This record gives sequence, C-alpha cells and structure tokens, in this order.
Amino acid sequence: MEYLITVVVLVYGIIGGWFLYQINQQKNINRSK
Amino acid sequence: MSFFKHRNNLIHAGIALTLSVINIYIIFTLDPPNLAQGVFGNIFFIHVPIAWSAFLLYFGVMVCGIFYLTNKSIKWDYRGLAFAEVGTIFMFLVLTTGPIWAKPAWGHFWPWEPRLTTSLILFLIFLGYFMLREFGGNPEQVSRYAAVLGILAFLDVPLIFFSVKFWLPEMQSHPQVGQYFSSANPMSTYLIIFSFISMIIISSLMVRFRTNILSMNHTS
Repeated sequence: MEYLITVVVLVYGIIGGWFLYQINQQKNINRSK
Repeated sequence: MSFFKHRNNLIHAGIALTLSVINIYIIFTLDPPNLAQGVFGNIFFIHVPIAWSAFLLYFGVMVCGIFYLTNKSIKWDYRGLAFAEVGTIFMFLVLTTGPIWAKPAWGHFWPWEPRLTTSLILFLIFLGYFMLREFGGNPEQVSRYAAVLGILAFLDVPLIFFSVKFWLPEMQSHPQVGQYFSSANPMSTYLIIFSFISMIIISSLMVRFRTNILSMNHTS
C-alpha cells in the first residue's frame, strides 16, 4: 500500500505544485504590466 | 487577465479535477488485477497512462516543430515549448513511478533493460532541448534548432514502444505490447483507458496554461 500512496502523492503532488507555480508566475507577470 | 477567469478554461479545469479524484478513488479501491502483486500492482493504472500521455505530448512537440518550420509563426514555437515542458514533467513521473513499482515487482529499482534505457535517453534528449533553449544564443535561431531537435527526438518514441520486440526476449523485464490486455478481464482495459483520458485532459490543460503564460511573457 505504501508504494501506491507514494506514487499517487508524487504524481498529483508534482502536477498540483506545477499549477501553483504557474499561477504565481501569472500573478507576477500581471503585476509587472 | 487570469487564465482561469475564462469560462472554458474553468470548465476544462473542473473536468480535469473531477476525473483526477475519480481516478485516485479507483486506484485505491480497485481489486488488483494481478493478485500475485497485491495492491501495489495498481500503480500500473497510473504509470502506463502517464507514459502514453508523455509520448503524446512529445508528438505535440514534433507537430508544433513542423508547423513552426513551415510558417515561422511564434505561436507554434510557444506551443512546442509548452508541449516539451509538460511532456518532460510526465516523462520524469514515468521514470520515478516505474522504479517504485519495479522494486517490489522485480526486486530492483532499475534493471538496465531496453525500455528503461530508451526512456531515459528520451528524457536526457529533452534536457538537452531545454539547455539549447536557454543557452542557444540568437532567439530565432534557437527556435529553429529547437523545432528540428523536437522532431528528431520523437524518433525515440516508437523505439521505446517497440523496444520489447526489437531486443532479445531474455533482455526484457517489461511485458510484450498488448500483454496487459486480456479479453478475460475487460475491466482493466476500460480503467486504463479512463485513466489515460484523465491524463490527457490534465496535460492539455497544462499545455494551454503554459502557452498562455509564455505569450503573456512575450507581450509584457
């Protein structure tokens, strides 16, 4: 079970983290305009 | 303007989130198709669809590269870069979820067998692609070289897919193409297709979002 949990956390964690990073980048670009 | 303020993008994100939640629920509650492997065998329902999505994203890099070389429109360059970035994230996930499954299944994290080696080569080619993007010099020339590299890099994808056929069976750890799917257990086939669709929807949202940010960067 721990292998499965590791994989799910890794996959959806990285994808979720990527979205948060991009939203932050978008905010920075909007602010600098 | 925020990407998620557009109605269509918000709907796209809503669908991606819903399918992801259903996918996670299925992965945790499904009886493992291979009882010998136990519940960790369900990693298969996430690892394989991610691998297929990564290949599809790299196909997108190739298509955008061809369009960029034919009409020189900057939007195809941005799309190609967005496909490459998201494809490489997915490829990284393939190369990390695979060994987590392989350790309990095969006893080793990383046996140097054909499919793993060719997948690692593809990942490394795309690391080179990003180095070229970053340090290549003249932007127009970099875009042209990157388009050519993206097209050439895709040649590795059929090699990965058919690597189980090209090399001797004694060298293989992966099952043969199509061996996962049996008519005796059609549920596994349906679930893997469902998981693949959910990954396509997430990755297409990521590509659209990233393309949007790259064009915002250009116009700002």
